[in-house]
Amino acid sequence: MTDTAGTYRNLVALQGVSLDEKRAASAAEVLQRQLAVEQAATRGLAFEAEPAGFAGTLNAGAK
Amino acid sequence: MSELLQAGAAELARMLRARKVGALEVMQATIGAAKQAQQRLNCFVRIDEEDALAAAKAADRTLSRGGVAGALAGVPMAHKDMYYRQGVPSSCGSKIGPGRPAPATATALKRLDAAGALQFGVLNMTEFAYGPTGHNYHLGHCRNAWNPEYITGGSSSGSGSSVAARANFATLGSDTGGSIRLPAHFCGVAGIKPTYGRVSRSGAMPLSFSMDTVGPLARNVEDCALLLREIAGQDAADATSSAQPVPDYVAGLSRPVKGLRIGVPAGYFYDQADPAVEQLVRGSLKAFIDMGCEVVEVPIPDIEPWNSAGVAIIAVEAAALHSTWLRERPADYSDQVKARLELGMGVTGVQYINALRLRDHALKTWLTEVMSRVDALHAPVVSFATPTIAETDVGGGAKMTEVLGKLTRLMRPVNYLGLPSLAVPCGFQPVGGNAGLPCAFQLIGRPFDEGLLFRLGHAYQRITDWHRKMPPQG
Repeated sequence: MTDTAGTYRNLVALQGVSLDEKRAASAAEVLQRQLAVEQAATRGLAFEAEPAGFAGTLNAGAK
Repeated sequence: MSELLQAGAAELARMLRARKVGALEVMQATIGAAKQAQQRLNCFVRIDEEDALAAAKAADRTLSRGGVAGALAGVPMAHKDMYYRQGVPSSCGSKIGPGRPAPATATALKRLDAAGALQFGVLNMTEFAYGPTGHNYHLGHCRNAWNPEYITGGSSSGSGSSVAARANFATLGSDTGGSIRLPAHFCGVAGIKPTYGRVSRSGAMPLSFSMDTVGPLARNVEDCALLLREIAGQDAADATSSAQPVPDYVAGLSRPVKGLRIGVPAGYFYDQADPAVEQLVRGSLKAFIDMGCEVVEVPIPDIEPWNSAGVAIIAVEAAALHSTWLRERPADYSDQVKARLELGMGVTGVQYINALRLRDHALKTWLTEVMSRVDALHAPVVSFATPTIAETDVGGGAKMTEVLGKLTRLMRPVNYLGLPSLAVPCGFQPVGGNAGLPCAFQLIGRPFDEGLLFRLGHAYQRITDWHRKMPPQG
């Protein structure tokens, strides 16, 4: 098991859920991929951006 | 099959109001068809025959007195088994749900009740609405009315299957990452995922409070417009429900579509398309051109990160909702749902918040770069041939993420953006036997512009007959 998979397994175990090694390994790969995509996408995001802006934009976007 | 069962919900409502047919007669025929469909398709969880027949008799009395009747008076409906009735347990497609009497009745059900619709049962669904195929390891897999070896799509599997089989006139589904549009595509019915906040989520089983939407599946677009008109609008019981006014979607159906601009995506939506499916979806554009719409190609921004962010948000919110049961009742989950919830437990707080922070920027980008150029975007729902139940039976194993990701790839970005999207049948794929299997396109609109999508979809159905095709009777 890789370090990342072990870390993930421990993180989930801290929350009271046990995982087998194989599942931890495949999940850790998925999570790493997702994290890389998101880090790239949020790199240029405004420092002030916050989740609440979405609802306002959705309502303002109505024709 | 009784001719009564071939009508759409709106058409049936008109026949009932005109007393051309009685509610009891319709209910008896519907329950008969539901029992038959159940044997072949496993689309129902429960049929409440006695109560439904009593309700139909009462509806007949109201209608025969000529009193005020709701727009859906006497129309039989069964809904995805995640819309609560106070005190009654909803399975939510799970092993855990049946032990939990519902705390309150869903607002969407209350509004359908007020419109006179008669609920006669509840429908199969993916466990906790967390899966796009229609597999259910607790209740048995729901099966496609066009060929029972093939998937229905999920999570509103029983909704798609029962409506396609003419065993249900219309139904509530829910769409967090494609769960209305996928069954609409695979089963050959219409379905709308409304704008986030358009319909109250109160009393609907939550999966992801930032992404969940409530909407109808029905035999045609007119029926979807009618149901959405009845259930939409602000609700004090759901703080995220929108105060945007609800137009009369049905009255708007007859407005002309000539001159409307329809976008065809250049990039992403057709990137991995099967040629046969692409041909069907692109082929449906001709009808819009014939009606005087302007069809233009639109470059699509890089939306893969939005898809990924959507996955993270759903996974975390679902994991939070299920965390106690995951600790205390892990054996009561199927392998696949458990694996997906466990993934959510591994997403960091920073990643989750950043996925939410990115959402506003993503929507602004989409509105500027895509929706400023067109009135609606026309795209595939799924761009590959419908798979069998066996082919997608991946459980929680290593292939799970790939298979599920492929199915939801064209869905989830729309949920992330909170936009409305209407799925409309547009032909049959050359797979799955003689009749083939249905295919749909989706029309993605501006926020709260469901009315325009209905106009376009209804206009398309006025000059095509894909929605009138019926699956073989088993």
